[in-house]
Amino acid sequence: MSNIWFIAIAQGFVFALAGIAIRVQYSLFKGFDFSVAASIAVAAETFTVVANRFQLAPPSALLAGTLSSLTASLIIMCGWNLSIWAVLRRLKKFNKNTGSALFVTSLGFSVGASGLIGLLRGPGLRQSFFNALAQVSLLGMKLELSNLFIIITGALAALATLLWLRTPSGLGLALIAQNEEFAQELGVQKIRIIMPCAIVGGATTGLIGSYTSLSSGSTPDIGLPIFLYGAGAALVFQSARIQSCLWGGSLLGIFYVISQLFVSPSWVNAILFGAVVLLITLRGSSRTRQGLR
Amino acid sequence: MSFLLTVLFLCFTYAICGIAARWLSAKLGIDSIAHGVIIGTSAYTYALCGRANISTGGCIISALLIGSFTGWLVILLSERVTGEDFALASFGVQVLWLVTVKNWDSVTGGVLGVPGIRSIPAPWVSNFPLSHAIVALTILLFSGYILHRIDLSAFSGGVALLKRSKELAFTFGVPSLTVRSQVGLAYGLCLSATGVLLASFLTFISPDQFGTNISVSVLAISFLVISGQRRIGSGILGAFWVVGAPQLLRLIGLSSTRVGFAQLFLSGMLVACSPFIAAASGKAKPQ
Repeated sequence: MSNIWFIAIAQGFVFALAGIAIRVQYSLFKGFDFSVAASIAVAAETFTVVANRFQLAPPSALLAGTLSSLTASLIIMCGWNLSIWAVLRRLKKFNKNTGSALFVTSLGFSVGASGLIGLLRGPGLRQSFFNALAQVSLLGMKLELSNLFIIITGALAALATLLWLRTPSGLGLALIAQNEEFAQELGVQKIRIIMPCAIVGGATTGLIGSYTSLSSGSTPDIGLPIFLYGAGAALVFQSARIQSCLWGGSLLGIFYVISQLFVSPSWVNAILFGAVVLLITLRGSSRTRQGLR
Repeated sequence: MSFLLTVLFLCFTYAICGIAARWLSAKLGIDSIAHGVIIGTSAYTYALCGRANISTGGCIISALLIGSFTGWLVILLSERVTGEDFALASFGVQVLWLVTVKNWDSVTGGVLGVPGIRSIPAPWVSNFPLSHAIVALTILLFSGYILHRIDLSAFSGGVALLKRSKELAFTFGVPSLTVRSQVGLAYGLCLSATGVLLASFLTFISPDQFGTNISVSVLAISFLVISGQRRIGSGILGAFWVVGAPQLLRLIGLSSTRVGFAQLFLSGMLVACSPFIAAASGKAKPQ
């Protein structure tokens, strides 16, 4: 039974990290940002390629794969945040809804990235070579390395994010999330918050990518379903606070794993996607289209 | 020749979806990412009705009815969520549909799909791709004409009010739910016709053919469609760039799966650039 809770916590961390990445981008740019999905897909692919290319022993392969996937996702998120900031500033001059523009542009970017990955390496699932060996003994239990990895690194990443939220840039993000004009009047400069947000997004998506590659392998479109789970984790408590993503992710993770005791895992995915759609629909769009941003 | 006719068929088929998606966006101001759900539902209905030994006419009518109903259901979401919230909800519906069809082995055949689908008979043309290309072109012209007639009707005024504001439409006595239902049914009908055409042409369908890829491709084409009288021409041109041009890569020896990824890459890039296309084409005016 304790093993199940261990898996539930690991799954909760995956959803929570995706939720944090989505919520940070949402607070900053006022819209759903699919670059999170692109970053996860590229990170997972990078991990698999590095681990398989160098054929290192498991601890070294894990370290090399994680570092390379973190680097790839950080590059993507930093480049993306700077570009989209410039693009949205320009589009604001036109009478355009920047939330929709962000959604469409980032969706195109994410789908294009999946297409490029598929075009370069071909279709199908790619797994790390040490996947089959990836089990460790801890407290008398046989635990999967991927779950242990995401619990340790996810906890560290969540802690670092919570600490960052107490710094001036973190508080600036919280102000922007509440009211951008008000934040500007108080002297919060968005350009100075973009890079810390990209680092948070890059670190969380890099860890999710590494976990995905370790546990199930990478496919070109692996990021899109995780994005949807992350959106569920970010929206479940209807709060603009980034901390709530942790609770939202944990709740979804526990639900995901416990449900698998009664229903087949693939049906659990369908149930959870249905729950996320229901959540988005029930939340609705407010009259001013601001919602809980 | 057969290859070129196949490309032509695909261009016409995707053009129908593109103009329907553009029409939906112009009427209600929403961008759906659940086009694959409607196309897939009608394709599966056509295939499964055929398997149940229903006549071809019965299969087509059932597919069109159920496809239109699915379109209506998807568009009904816009009564509650708009803008990017609707786009995200429709994306969720798309993923949900895909997972459900993949798992419902007993009915849909799961990931293996449905083989041996009955083709729509065309006794007047012996060439299989040519007959389907002609049918697709006919449906495209008919859809374009019908959507144009709707644009010119009084119904369009009510829809324009609803697009501006739900409250404004209510004040003028325009029933929001009824108008959305009518738009959803018309949009669903166009997309379900393409579902039937695809199933009949391919004679085999699987869930992955109607995934996010097809939805994003249709979205990309819709961004290239120009409303009004140039709707059909721009739709065919858009479909050629998004679907036809990548197919031509097969001539240089690229496998069909890689061509699919090339199409996905091209669609993604087009969708990513769409806000700039809109700004450059004057759909958005500088403030």
